[in-house]
Amino acid sequence: MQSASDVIDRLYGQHANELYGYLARRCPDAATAGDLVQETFLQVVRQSDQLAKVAMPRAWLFAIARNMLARHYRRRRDLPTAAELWYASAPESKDDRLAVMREAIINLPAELRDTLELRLEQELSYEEIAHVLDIPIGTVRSRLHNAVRHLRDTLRNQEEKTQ
Amino acid sequence: MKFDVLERLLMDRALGHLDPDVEALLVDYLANDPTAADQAQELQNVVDGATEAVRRTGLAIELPSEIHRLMWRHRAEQALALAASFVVGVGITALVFRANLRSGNVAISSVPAQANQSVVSAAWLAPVKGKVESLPFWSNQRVYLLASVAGQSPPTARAN
Repeated sequence: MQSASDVIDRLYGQHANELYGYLARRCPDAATAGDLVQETFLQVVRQSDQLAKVAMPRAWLFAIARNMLARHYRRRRDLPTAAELWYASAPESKDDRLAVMREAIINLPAELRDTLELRLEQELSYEEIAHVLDIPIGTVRSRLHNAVRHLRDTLRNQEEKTQ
Repeated sequence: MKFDVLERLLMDRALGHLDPDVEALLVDYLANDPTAADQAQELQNVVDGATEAVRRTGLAIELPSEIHRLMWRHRAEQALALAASFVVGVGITALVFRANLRSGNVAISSVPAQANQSVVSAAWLAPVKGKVESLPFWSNQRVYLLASVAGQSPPTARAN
């Protein structure tokens, strides 16, 4: 049987980088993202007695990371939103369609954008997203569908304008 | 197929979350319905575009390769918490003791109060022993009750 330390080591090896990627695009700088990854795993160490009960470790880690991020933003109210940080720092695209898409994603309601990003960026399953956001799976599905519908309508409108 | 049912299936398919068996049936359906096939393609394009927009490449990642220092940090925190609890505990005990000392109600005893009481009862058993023995139907419980009553009276009063 693996010790808690071995399990945490394995989780770190498997998921630290993707957690860092997720946090980095939501933090003003890379150092903060690195600190939040460390805080996330420190929390895992503190809750190591619960490791055996965790059914979806990846979703569990993302849920902790999101809590750490939320706590960080509560402390620093002057920070720009995660969406502003990410899409503002994204490289300029020559593809107008991509630029329109970025704009459309920024303008999505926060809960739709969060859900969509967990699916498309992190490739979490519907069940994992439900665990991370602590919402029913049906809500995950409807949020994703609404987000895609929103984006489709925005793109349609944009195309109509350009024609 | 109803429009909303079809749209839900197409959304889940575009988002990569459709059961393979259902997807196979849907593909057959789309082959016979060009309008639905166009709708499916449009949704797939939206999801692909959104995926491209949310993903970022070339992000520098410099994370430590091990997390043992986190373990040590956690242990240090635990040790600190234990030490703090100990200091707080000792402090509170000292404060309570000091407060009691000032009000003059400190009781120091090497044996529990209940033990003292039983010793006193036994010591004062002798004066009533004769009376008790003359009444054989009295239970042991009664004997000890009498003994304890005798123990609460001052010796001088009993002598009278």
